[in-house]
Amino acid sequence: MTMSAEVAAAFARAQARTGMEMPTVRFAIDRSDLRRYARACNETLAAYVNGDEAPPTFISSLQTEGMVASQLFEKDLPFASKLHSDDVVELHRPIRAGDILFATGRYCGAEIKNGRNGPMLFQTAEMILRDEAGLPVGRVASTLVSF
Amino acid sequence: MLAGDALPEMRCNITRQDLVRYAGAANDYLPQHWDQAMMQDQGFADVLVHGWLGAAHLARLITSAFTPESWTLNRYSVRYRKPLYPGAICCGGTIIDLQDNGIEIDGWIKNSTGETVTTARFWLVAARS
Repeated sequence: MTMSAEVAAAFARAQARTGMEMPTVRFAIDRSDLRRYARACNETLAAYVNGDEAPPTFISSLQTEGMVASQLFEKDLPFASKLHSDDVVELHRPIRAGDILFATGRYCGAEIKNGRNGPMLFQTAEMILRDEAGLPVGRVASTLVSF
Repeated sequence: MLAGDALPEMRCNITRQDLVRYAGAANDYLPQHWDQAMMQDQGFADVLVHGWLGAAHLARLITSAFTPESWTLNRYSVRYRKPLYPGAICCGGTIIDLQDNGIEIDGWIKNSTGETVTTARFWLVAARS
């Protein structure tokens, strides 16, 4: 694959982040947060609407802070656009009101693919969520594509 | 329901107000979802619906058909194949595998012109009593 020196350098910077971990972030899950999220997703199931239990995608709402996403992903890139490409989620148990959770963000890796209009850089980072006992609650890996 | 069966389709309309509400609830204020001028400069028709908001609607389809009282959605993967703009969407899915203790479902979101913009796979296990 041919890529400009600028793209190659950006790819190298992104790859160098692989394995980088962010400081652990603590969350106190509040019933009102769960209710607000459920409403924003048009949820109708009582357990979600009442804030007893988090809808399955609620884990995403912890990513901005929990992964410290703004620092985890390489941002100095020679691309005009950045989009969300993929998510993979594992939930070991439902997130509930009253949970104290600990999130750790980690940079998983970078990949270059050839798109129709040139190279595309895919960056993947994950957030591991544990409870106070250290038991796993969930994991979410998100991939962003820059092109 | 049996493997191969389609779930009842779910249609809804995602407005800009929905994007604002979701941004607040999900702590996702990326400009792709509110800066129309920036997006049009980059060649997009409009601001984008948060990928996670589409995924949430799709998950809603799944948990409506297989409710948390009986089934736990414990794994899913989502691929955002094309930009999703505010407007009408249709969510659907097909049961890939259905056993007493687990279900696998393929899901999709189509935009207002019928293009598939998002695909997903969901895995559910029987809820513990």
